[in-house]
Amino acid sequence: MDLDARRAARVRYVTSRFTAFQGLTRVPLALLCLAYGLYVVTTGETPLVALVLVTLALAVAPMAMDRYYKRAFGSVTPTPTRLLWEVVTAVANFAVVGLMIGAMVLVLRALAPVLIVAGVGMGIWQLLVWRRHAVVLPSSVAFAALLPVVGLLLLLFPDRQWVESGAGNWAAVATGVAVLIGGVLDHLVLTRTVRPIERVDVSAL
Amino acid sequence: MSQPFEELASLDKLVHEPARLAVLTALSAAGSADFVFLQRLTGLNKGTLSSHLSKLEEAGMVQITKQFRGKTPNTAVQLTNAGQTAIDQHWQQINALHEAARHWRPDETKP
Repeated sequence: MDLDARRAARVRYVTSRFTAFQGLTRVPLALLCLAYGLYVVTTGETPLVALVLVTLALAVAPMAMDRYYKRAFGSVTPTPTRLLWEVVTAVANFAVVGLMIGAMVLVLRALAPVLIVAGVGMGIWQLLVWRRHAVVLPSSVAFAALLPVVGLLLLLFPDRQWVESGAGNWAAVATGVAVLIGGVLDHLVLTRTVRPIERVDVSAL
Repeated sequence: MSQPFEELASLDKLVHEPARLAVLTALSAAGSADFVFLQRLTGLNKGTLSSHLSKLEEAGMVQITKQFRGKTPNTAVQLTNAGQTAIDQHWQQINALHEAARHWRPDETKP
């Protein structure tokens, strides 16, 4: 296949969001969520020390993945406009997603089901609506937005009964699966797009 | 008005060559890209890609910056305004030709 208009549009799209399509950088986080959730679900224990150690180990993993991508695919600097757009989108997502999740949790008084819906919904959104294109920034910000929301809720409702419900562990599993699928799909889009353009004889045109 | 297939001859071959077209298209969506990325995209060896980039640089379409990132040499390639205009116009021309070819009927060529 030559570089037709469709392929060109794909090349432009992926190039402009090059870092976002480096999906394997999110796999360690996904595996951590998945392993933690499954462990607690099956054993009923919360391995706090192990969790801290694994978290520290996995903090290094994205850096290794980043080096892999630089070696294998090179690097791309986004345009200033694109960078500005991503920052604006991130702030907007932070506000909207944080407020939405916070409101849902307050109304329903159930953190875990909301997280499950958010995690799975994000996976479906990425698969269907965005057609497997990267939404790493919005989804990362969405997850980050959970932190102040949960922190605020902990302050407002110190009993924490609803935070520690058993369904929360399934939320971790669901989130892990959603992030894992999204990360692998983004990586596949990157590898399929940034592959050699087949040569054609220009004189034949 | 000339026929769409005749219009193909008017395409700028400097831009239309597949590897250079891929390079310019990718660069049009980024601030800059390094040599490794462009090599991966085009599948060319270093020498051939360098040759293509030199031609684009001579035509004033790209700007090549050689620098060191730590101890590793890095070549960054950036599209110039002239390059941006050239690639935009080229894709507009391709799309127009594509549309014209879709609506083209053999009968129209007869006098």
